[in-house]
Amino acid sequence: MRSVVRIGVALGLGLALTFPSSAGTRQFTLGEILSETKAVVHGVVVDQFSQWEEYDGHKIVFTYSTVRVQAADFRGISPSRQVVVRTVGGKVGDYQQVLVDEASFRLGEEVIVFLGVEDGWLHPSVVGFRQGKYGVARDGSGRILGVRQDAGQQLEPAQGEVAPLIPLARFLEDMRRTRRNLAEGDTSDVHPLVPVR
Amino acid sequence: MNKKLVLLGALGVASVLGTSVFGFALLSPARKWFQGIGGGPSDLPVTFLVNSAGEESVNDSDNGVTACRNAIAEWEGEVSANLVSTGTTSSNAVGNDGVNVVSFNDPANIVRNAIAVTLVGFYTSSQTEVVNGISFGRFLDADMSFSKRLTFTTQAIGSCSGSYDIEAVQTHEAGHALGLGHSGVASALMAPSISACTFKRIAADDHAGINTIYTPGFGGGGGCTATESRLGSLSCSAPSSGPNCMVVSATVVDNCGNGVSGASVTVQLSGNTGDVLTGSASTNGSGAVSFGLRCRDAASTTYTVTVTGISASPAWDSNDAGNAPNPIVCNTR
Repeated sequence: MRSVVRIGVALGLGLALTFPSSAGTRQFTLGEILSETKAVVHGVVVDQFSQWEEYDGHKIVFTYSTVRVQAADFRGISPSRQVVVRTVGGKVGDYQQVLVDEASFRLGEEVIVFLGVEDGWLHPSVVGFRQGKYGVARDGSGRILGVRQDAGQQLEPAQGEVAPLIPLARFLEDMRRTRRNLAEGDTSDVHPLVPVR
Repeated sequence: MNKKLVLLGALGVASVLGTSVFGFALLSPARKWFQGIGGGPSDLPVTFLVNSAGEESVNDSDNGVTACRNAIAEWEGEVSANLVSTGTTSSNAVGNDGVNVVSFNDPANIVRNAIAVTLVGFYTSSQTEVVNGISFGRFLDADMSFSKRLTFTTQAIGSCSGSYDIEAVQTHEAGHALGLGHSGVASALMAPSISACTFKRIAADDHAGINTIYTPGFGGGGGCTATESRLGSLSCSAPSSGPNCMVVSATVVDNCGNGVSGASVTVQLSGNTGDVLTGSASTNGSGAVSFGLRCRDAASTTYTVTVTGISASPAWDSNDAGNAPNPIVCNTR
């Protein structure tokens, strides 16, 4: 519970800045992700379904994952105890579609997710695709060890690696630092240099 | 279930490549276009149809259509199999129709803040084809869509300002459509990152990846084992606006050229008027880290920038001849 409070405090981001959409087949900085984020949510995936949807006579699978909110900072999305996140791809029957790099959720997963609003989408999307979603790792006693950026379950590193665990303290400090940077108009996600007196 | 698939796939690759370490990755679960191995069905050559309207921001004779077709065909030269063919279409179809289409301006509204995306489809219980010890399922459909928010160019056009190389992006997306995931090697075309005005082409790591999928008996073609970390690059810039009068950027790589994530980097700036600043931070997933010198803290106009320490795994070899220049001298704006 204490960890939830700490994350909740960290999610209280003073985001008033918006920037043009940044480009994509690349690594987003946390600053770029935060600049497009309308809500940061910490919660557990409690429901999920996938379905076919049509556009211009063509069919694409979309997946809807319901996240029960434990802590959140709602800035451009109405506050709610649950949010439904829309992602491209999913499995219907025996057929599966995968949008390479899209965030992926599984039932029961504890996540921190950066949500945005897309024109024409009725539900929030994940900002920066898989880079805007983190899984929360806990130890046997329930204490949060850290977070791990979503690998996007469609990707398989040849070395069998998984995304590195980011200690909770470092993740929270990154959030605070990025918030300060954004307040000063800096989305480059740089670390401050400190004068040596 | 997913963990098991990932593990099995990783074991498959490891069994082929022995102790070699590549950065390339396969899509997971592993999928490919079948090539008739063992008398099974063959999907080759895979036909990709480029929307004939093209990308209007590409200022060439056909809005980048030929450039995209040539970019897809780049993969053909990497394998002995007759891998791909290309054509044009008036369709913008993104979906499960069995026709592989390259479309522009994001007709399905799924690209969002990416440069381009690839959507692949398959049956989860399809038959399998085994290549190099890896069991692949069968692709049924692969469509690629480019952003409606960004502008694109080609290397032949020459000048570039804020646009993305449509050939590099197209070859990258076609790599996904053929079964490749993202590579951990920064110089690879299949690396997850590409910046505007960067003209990348297929690299050795990409070659190893595509041949792992489509060349039975492929031996790897030379691998690398990570044994030490190095300072991959050290540079600085003077942003013309914003709160930073100087930004120092560094990368940490291993001896195979892969970025080292989570490496703690310490830098020190010594100004020409005697002021000293320091900073320490960890590299991101690509092995990069940046430090900002706020204008309010900049007492000097010129600074000597020194990386004084890197704590990384594998350990930093500060004496390695492959190191980037360290220190460097930088000016503020």
